[in-house]
Amino acid sequence: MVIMDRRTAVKNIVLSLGLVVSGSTILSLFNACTTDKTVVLPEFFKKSDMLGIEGLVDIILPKTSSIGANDLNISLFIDKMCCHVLSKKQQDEIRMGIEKFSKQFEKITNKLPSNGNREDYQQMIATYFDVSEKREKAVFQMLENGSDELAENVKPDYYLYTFLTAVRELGMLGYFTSQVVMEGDIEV
Amino acid sequence: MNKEYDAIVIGTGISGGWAAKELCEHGLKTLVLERGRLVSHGDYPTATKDIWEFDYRGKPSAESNSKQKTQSRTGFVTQETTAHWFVNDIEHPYNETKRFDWIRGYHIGGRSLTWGRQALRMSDLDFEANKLEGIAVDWPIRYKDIEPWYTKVEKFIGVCGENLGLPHLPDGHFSPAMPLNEVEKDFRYQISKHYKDRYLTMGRFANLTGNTHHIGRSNCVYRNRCMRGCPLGAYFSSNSSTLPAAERTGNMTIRPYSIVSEILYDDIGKRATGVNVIDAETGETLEFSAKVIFCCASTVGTTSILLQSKSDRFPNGLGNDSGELGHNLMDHHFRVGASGSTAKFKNVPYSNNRPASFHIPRFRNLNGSEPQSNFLRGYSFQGSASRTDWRRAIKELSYGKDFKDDLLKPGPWRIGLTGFGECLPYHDNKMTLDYDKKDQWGLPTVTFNAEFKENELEMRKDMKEEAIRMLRLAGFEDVKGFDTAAYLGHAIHEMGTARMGHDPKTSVLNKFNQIHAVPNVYITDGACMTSSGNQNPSLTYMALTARAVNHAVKQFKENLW
Ligand SMILES: Cc1cc2nc3c(=O)[nH]c(=O)nc-3n(C[C@H](O)[C@H](O)[C@H](O)COP(=O)(O)OP(=O)(O)OC[C@H]3O[C@@H](n4cnc5c(N)ncnc54)[C@H](O)[C@@H]3O)c2cc1C
Ligand code: SF4
Repeated sequence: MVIMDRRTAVKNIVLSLGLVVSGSTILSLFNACTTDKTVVLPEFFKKSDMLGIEGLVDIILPKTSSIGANDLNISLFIDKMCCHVLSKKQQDEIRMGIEKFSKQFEKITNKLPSNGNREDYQQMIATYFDVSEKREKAVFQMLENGSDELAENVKPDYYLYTFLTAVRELGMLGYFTSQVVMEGDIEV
Repeated sequence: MNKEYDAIVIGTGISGGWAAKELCEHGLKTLVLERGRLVSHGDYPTATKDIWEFDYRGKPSAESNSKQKTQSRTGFVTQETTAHWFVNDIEHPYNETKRFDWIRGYHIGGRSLTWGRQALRMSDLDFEANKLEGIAVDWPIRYKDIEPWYTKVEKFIGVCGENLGLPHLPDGHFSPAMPLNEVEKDFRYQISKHYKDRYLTMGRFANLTGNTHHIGRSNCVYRNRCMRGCPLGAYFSSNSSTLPAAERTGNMTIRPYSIVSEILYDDIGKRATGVNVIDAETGETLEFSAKVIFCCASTVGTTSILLQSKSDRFPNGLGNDSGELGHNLMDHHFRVGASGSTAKFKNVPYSNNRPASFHIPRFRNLNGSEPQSNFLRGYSFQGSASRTDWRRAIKELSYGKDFKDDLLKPGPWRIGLTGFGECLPYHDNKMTLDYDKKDQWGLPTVTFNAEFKENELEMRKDMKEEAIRMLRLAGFEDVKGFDTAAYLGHAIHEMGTARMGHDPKTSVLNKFNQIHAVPNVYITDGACMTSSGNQNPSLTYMALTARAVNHAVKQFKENLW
C-alpha cells in the first residue's frame, strides 16, 4: 500500500476518529502539524473524567524511548469506544466504575483525580494492578461472571475493575492497532 | 425488460454463478435473478482499508450489533470490515424452535464473497456411506460421476494445494500450495513420525498461485483480507469469476433486487413455466418465463421457494411428493479441538498474511481402518500456527514500560486445531414455513427445528481427545482442549433439505439434480446433498451445478422442453 505522508496521516487519524475538529490541543506526536490545532470533545465521559483516563493510560502505556498512549490521544479513542461499541449494560457498569475510581483516588491520594500527578496515578495503578497471580485470576473470573449474582459488598470492586480493565484493554487496542505503531514508526 | 428466456437462474452465490456461466457459455439466453443489491467486481468498500482506518478498529458498534444479532453469533462476520456482506436480522427475521444460526448475505455474489475458500473433493467413502450403513437414502451418484466436473471447476476457479494420493480425499487439479510455516512443518513431521494413517497438508484453497492465467484475475499477494472482497480477483467469487464469464457471452441478463417468491408450474405440460418475482425495493410483482430453471438460492432460500410454490398438483410445495422437502437439514459441527504453545522457533519470523490454514484429512472409520465403536463417519482438522500479538496480555493486569516493550514484539508461537465433523441426515431435523409470521414482502418466514444428536456428540469427544493427543505427541506445551456448544448453521455449511436419491418416494431430486416430477427444474445448491461428508461443501455444489447444466443443455437442445 501507499504509505501516506505524515500530514495526511494526521488528518486521517482525526477523521477516522470521527470527532469534531477545531481549537487548540495538538497531537503532540506530529510536530509537522503545529498549526493543525484540534480540540475534541468527549462523547461518553465527562471532561473531568478524561483527565483521569489520561492519567491512567500514561502509566499503563507510558512514553519511553517510544511513544506512549497519550501521544496518540488514546483517551479520546477510549471515550469513543465506550460511547459507540459497548452495550448499555457495560456503559452503566463503567459509569459506576469511574465514580468508585474517583472515590478511591481521593481516599488514597487525598486529591481529586483532576489534580492528581503522575505519582498519584502510579500509586492508584499499583494498588489495583500489582496483585498476586491468584488475585489477578480471581478478578478476571469475577468480571467474566458478571454482576448479576454478585454480593452487594463486592459490587464496588466489580465496577472499579470493570472500569480499570476497560481503560487498559481499549487503551491497548487503540495503541497497538494505530498506524504509527503498526508501521513501527514509534521512536520519540 | 424481456419476460421470456431460455433459462432462469435464481441466486448469484457460488452455485448460481456457476449455473449462469455454464448456461450462458452453452448459448442459452439466461435471466439471473438475485434478491439483494448489485455488487460489481471491485465494489468492495473496505478492501484496501487498514485497521486504523475503521472507526472502531474493526469492532462492531453497539448499533450495528443490534441489527445483526444472529449474524454476530459467529463472533467474526459482523466486524466493521465485513458486516456489510451479511443481512440485517431485523429486516430478515426467522424463527427457531431450536437454535439455528442462519448466516447469509443478500447481494450479487452471495456468500461467494465471504466464503473461507476451502475446496475439498468428496469421495466414494462419502457417496457410499448411507447405503452401506442403511442410513437415510443412497446417493444416486458415485465419485466417477462427479470426478470430471470437480476437475473442470478446479481448473476454472483456481485451487492451490497438494495432492496426497488418498482415496478418501481425492487428488485434484492444483496450483502450488501455500507454504506451511516452520512450526507447522515440524508438526507435519511429528505426525508422519507417529502415525501411519494421518497426514498434515496445506489446505486446498481457491486462491490463485502458480502460472495459470485466469481472465481478469491475478495471483494472491497475501493480504489475508479475502472476506472483504479482493480487488485483484485473487480468490474465487462469483463477482470476480463466474459472473464476468457469463457476462462475456452476451447471453446474460442480471436483475438485482429480485426476490423469487414462487416457481410457476403447469400441470398440463407437467413442467415449470417460469417464476414470480417481487421487486425488493418497489414491492412490484413480475413474472418471467423460461424453458429451464436453476434454483440456486442457497439451501434454505431454495427450499423456501419450493415450499412456497404450491399448486393443485403440489399442495405441499413443488416437487414434494416424498414429503422430504425441508427435512434432513445438516451442517458440519465444529469448534471442537485443542491448542498448544511452543517455546521453540523463537527466532523464526512470522507474518499473518497467509489466507489459508493446514488440513489434517479424516482418519476415522476409513475403509480398512479399525471401526470406531462410538460413532459413524469421521472428521478432519483445520488449523494453523501463529505468533501471538498484543492481545496475549488482555487478561492480565500488567502495565508500564516493560509491558509495552514486550507487547511491541511478537509473542510465543501457538498452534490451534479445530475439527469439522460429519453430521448424519435425520428426517426430523427440518425447516418449515410459518405463514402466520410474514416478512415485509408478505412471504412466510422460516422456522428451524434441528439439533446435533448422539453420533455427532460422541464424535466430538473423539475430536477433542485426538486433537489434544496429537499436539502432546508432537511436543507442544500448555495443550488445552476445547468444545464450544455446537449449533446447526454455525459452520455455515447448511444442506440436505431437497435431497438427491434414486426413488421419487423418498427423495426430491434425481441423479442429475432435476426435481423427479418436474424435470426442467434443477436444484444444485446445498439443498441437494444426500449426506454431508466432513469436507467443506461448496466445491461439490459447483461440480454438481456444472454437471447438471451439461445435462440440461442436452435436454434443451433436443427440444425436450
Ligand atoms: C464466513 C464463511 C466461510 C465459509 N467457508 C467456506 C469454505 O471454506 N469452504 C466452503 O466450501 N464453503 C464455505 N462457506 C460456505 C459457502 O459460502 C456456501 O456453501 C456457499 O456460498 C453456498 O453457495 P450457494 O450458491 O448455495 O449460496 P449463497 O452463496 O449463499 O448464494 C445464494 C444467493 O441467492 C440469493 N437468494 C436467496 N434467496 C433468493 C430468492 N428468493 N430470490 C432471489 N435470490 C435469492 C442470495 O441473496 C444469495 O446471493 C463459508 C461461508 C461463510 C459465510
Ligand atoms: S489474500 Fe490474496 S485473495 Fe485474499 S484478499 Fe489478499 S490478495 Fe486477495
